[in-house]
Amino acid sequence: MKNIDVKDLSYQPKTAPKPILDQVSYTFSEGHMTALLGPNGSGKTTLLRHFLSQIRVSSDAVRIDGKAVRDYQPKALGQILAWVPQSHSGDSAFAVEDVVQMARYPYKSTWESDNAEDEKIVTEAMERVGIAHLRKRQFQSLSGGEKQRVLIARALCQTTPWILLDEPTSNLDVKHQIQIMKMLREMVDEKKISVIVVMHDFNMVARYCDQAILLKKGNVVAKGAVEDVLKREILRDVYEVDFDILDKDGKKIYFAREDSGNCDTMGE
Amino acid sequence: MKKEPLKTASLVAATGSLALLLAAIVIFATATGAVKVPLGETARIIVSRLPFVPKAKLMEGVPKAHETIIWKIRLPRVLLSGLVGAGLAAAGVVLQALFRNPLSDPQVLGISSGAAFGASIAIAFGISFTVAGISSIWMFAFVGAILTMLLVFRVARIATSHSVTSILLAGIACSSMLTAGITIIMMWNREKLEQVYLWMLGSFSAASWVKVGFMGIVLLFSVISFLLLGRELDLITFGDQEAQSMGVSVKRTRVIAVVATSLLVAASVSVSGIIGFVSLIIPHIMRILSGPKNRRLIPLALLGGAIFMIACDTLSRSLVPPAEIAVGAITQVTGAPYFLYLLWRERRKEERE
Repeated sequence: MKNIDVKDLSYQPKTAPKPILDQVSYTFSEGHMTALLGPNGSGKTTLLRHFLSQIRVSSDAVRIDGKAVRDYQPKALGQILAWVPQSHSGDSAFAVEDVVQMARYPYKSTWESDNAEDEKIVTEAMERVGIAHLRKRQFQSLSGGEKQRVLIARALCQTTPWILLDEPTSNLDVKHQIQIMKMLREMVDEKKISVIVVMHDFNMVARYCDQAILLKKGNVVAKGAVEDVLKREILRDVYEVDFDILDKDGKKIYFAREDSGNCDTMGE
Repeated sequence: MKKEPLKTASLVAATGSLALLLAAIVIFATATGAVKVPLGETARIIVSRLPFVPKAKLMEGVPKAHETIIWKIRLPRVLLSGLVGAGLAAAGVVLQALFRNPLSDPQVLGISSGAAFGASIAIAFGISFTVAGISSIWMFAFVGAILTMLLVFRVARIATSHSVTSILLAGIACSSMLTAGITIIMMWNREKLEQVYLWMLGSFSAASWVKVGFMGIVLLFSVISFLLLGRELDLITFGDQEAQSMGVSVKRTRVIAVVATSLLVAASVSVSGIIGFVSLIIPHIMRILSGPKNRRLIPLALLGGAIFMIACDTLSRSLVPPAEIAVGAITQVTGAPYFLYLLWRERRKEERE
C-alpha cells in the first residue's frame, strides 16, 4: 500500500507570523484522484512541497508507504512521486522531447544511456498529452499552455505511482483543460496511478476527482468524497462566496453568485 | 538560434575535426617564433617523444638547437595555453548550467578576481612555501576563488531565485571590490607591483613542464567530475526544485560542481593569471553545434577552448616581436565585443516576446 500519510503536520517559517500549515492530518490513499482545494495562501502548495521533500522537516509527519519522506534517497523518491509545478519561467533551450526524456533520470545509473524502452515511454507520454507534434521544438519557444502540457508529459514519463499537479490547467484553454483532466482520470482508472491535483475549478473537480481535501489558513476544513466536501455551507464558510449548485446528469454544477455576502470585505 | 543541433554522428565528426585542428594548431604554434623551425621538423620533434616511436630515426638531420627550442621552451607554453583554454571553457559551461545564466563566466562572477586576490596576497606578503609540490600562491588563489564563488552564490540567493541580474550584479560588485583590493595591495608593496600586475593581465611566458603537468592533472580531475554530472547539470537548468523532483541530489551536484570549477579556475589563474572571456565565448559558439546537452557540449568546449587560447597566445607573442602583448588583452579584445553582442541579442529577444 503506497499511501501518503500526513499526520499532525505543522509548518511555520521563521519569518511568518502564523503557521502556514497547522496540524494537518490526512491519508492520501492509493488509486484515487484527489483534489487539493482551498483559497489562495491556504497552504496547498506548501503541503505538496513537503511530499516532495523540498521542505524538509525534522519530524516524520509525512510518510510514503510507511517510510518518512526525509529518509528517501532523491532517486528513490523520484521513482514514487512526479511533480508538475504551478508555473515555469521556461527559458530552456532543450528540445521538447529532451525535456520529457529527462524524467527517466531516476531509473538511470551515471553512464547508462536511454534505451528503446525509454524512447517508447517518452513517445507514449507525449502522445497522451497531445504534444508529439512539438517534439523538436525548443522548450523556450512554446506558449504558456504548451509548456504546461510538456511538463505534464514529463511527469507521465517519470512513470511513478503518484503524480502531484499544482494547478495543471491554469494556462490551458477549455478544450485542453478537459483533455488533460480526462487523461488523468484514465490514468487513475486504467493504470492504477494515484493523482493529487491542486485546482480552483469546482466543476472540473466534481467531474473528474473522487476525493477532496479542503484547506483554509493551514487547517483542514473538510475531507472525503468530493460531493461531501463541495457543500454550499462549507464553501461559503471557506471562500465567503455563495454558490448555486445545480444537478446535470448526476454531476454537480457550481455557479458562484456575485451578490454573496462578503465579497467586498474579503481583505479584512 | 533556430538551427537544430547536430545529429550524434555529425557531432562525433565535428569533435573529430576539432581534435585534428587542435593537433595542427599545436604544431603550427610550436613552429612559430623568432627562430623559424619548419613545420615537418617540428612535428618530428614532437612525435619523437611519444612512446614506441623510433626516436633516432625520426631525428635524423634535426639540429640540436631546434630540438631544445621546441621541446624546452615552445611546446610547454603551447600545451599550457591549450590546457588553460580548455579548462576555462569547461568551467564556463558548468557555471552557465549551475547559475542558469548564459552570461556566467569565472570573470564576470568575480571568481577570477578572487583567485587573483588570493594570489596577490601571497606574492605581496612574500608567503612562499610548498606542500606536496603545490605552491602557496596556488593555495591562496584556490581559497580566493572558492570564497568568492560562495559569496556571490549566497548574495544572489538572498536577492531571490538566481535571477540573471542579481547574479551578474553580485559578481560584478565582488569583482570590483577584489580588483580594488589588489590595487591597494600593489600600492603597499610597490616592489612587487610588476609581478602582481603581470598576473592581472594574463600571460603564458613563464610556462614550464611542471605547470603543464599540474594543469593537466587538475583539468583531468575536473573534466571527469563534469562529465559524471552531465545529466544532473542538464536537469538543474530547469530549477533546483524540478531537478530534485526528478531524483537529482541537487545539493551534492552543486557542491561537487562548485569545488571542481573553483579548482580549475584557481589552477588556471595560478599558472597564467586572469584571462577573460574564453569561458563565455567558447561555450556559446560550441552550443550552437552541440545543443544544450552538457555531455555533448563539454568535449567540444574543451577542444574549442584549447584551439582559441593557443591561437591567442601565438598572436600575443608574434604580433610585435620581440615584445609580447598580454594574452588576456587579446582574448578580451575579441571577447568583449561578443559579450556586447550577446547582451544586445538577449534584449532583442525580450523585445520580441
